[in-house]
Amino acid sequence: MINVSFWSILWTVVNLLILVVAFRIFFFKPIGNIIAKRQEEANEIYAKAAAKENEAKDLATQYEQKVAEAESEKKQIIADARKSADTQYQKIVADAKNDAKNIKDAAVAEANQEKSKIIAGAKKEIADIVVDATTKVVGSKTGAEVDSELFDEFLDKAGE
Amino acid sequence: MTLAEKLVEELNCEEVFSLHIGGFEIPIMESVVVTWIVMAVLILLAIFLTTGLKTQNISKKQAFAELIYEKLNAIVGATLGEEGKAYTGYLITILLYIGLSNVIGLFGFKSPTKDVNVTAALALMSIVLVEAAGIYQKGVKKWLHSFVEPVAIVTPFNILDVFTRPLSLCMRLFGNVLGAFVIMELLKIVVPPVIPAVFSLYFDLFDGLLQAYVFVFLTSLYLKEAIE
Repeated sequence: MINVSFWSILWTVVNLLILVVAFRIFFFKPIGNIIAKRQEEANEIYAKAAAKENEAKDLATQYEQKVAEAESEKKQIIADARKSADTQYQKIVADAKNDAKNIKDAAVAEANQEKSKIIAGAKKEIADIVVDATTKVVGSKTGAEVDSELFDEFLDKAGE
Repeated sequence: MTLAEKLVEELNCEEVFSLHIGGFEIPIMESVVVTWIVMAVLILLAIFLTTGLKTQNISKKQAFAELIYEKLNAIVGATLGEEGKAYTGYLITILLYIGLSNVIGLFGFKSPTKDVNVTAALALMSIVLVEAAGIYQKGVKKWLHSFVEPVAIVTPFNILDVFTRPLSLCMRLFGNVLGAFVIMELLKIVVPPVIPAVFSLYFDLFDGLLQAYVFVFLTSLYLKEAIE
């Protein structure tokens, strides 16, 4: 109980030193290592996640930029289309006006021509009628041939 | 057999066998043999708990092992602080050893800590560690100077401390285990059979673990003082 024994003390010290070393090898080191390793893995995962997030943010800004570009491009295209449509419209209207005028002019010219034709026809007919009538009145063909010049003159004057 | 004889027999540490190495005859006492048993249990438990460790999808066994590891580190590290991290391993081992030694009486063995030689060895190792840590951390000059702090007149007491501290550590542990044992034996004789079981919870389990903690707590306190 209380009898001090040098050997017991020595044995206990040796035993305890062995126990401490054994615990270091079999308990503290493996568990400490595994916890450190897990910490490392967790850090790695966090770093990866942060990198991914940054990448995603970059992509998002890129897409926003692209969308904005597309928007402005769209506006540009619409404006261009409007402008070209307007020009086209003006041109068509102008062409149409031109065509209409041409048609009208042609119609007028034709009408005029027809008119002079009709008038000329009428003149000839009237002259024939007058010659016939005069011939009948005068009764002689010779006299009629002579006098047709006279009637022409008369008719010319009457037609004016 | 009278009560006194029975007690003395229980308290005496018998020589189990002796080794003859060279000219020496080395006796192996009961406490040493039980210490081997305690060591074997602790080491086998440690090996069992630390096989097949993984970083992910850990088993319940590993979760338990890590819990023990973290809790013990927290208990010992709390008093030791950041500078004393290197000594937590030793202190935890001592804590487990004393704790198991104190409660191994429940399994029919004689507690090694009931032998004053064991507690003396523990205290000796503690004080050697404390002073060695002081020298290592401060250097010989500063360590020597720490004896005249805070004023020169306390130097004798500081020197005395080097001897009284291990002595108190040794005797406190030994005395507590011995006292608890004697009380339990008396209770078993006086008021059997149920009441001793209730008291056993306190004297065998709680007090045993508490004394282990007290021993380690005081050692870490001395350590912290030495390395500051």
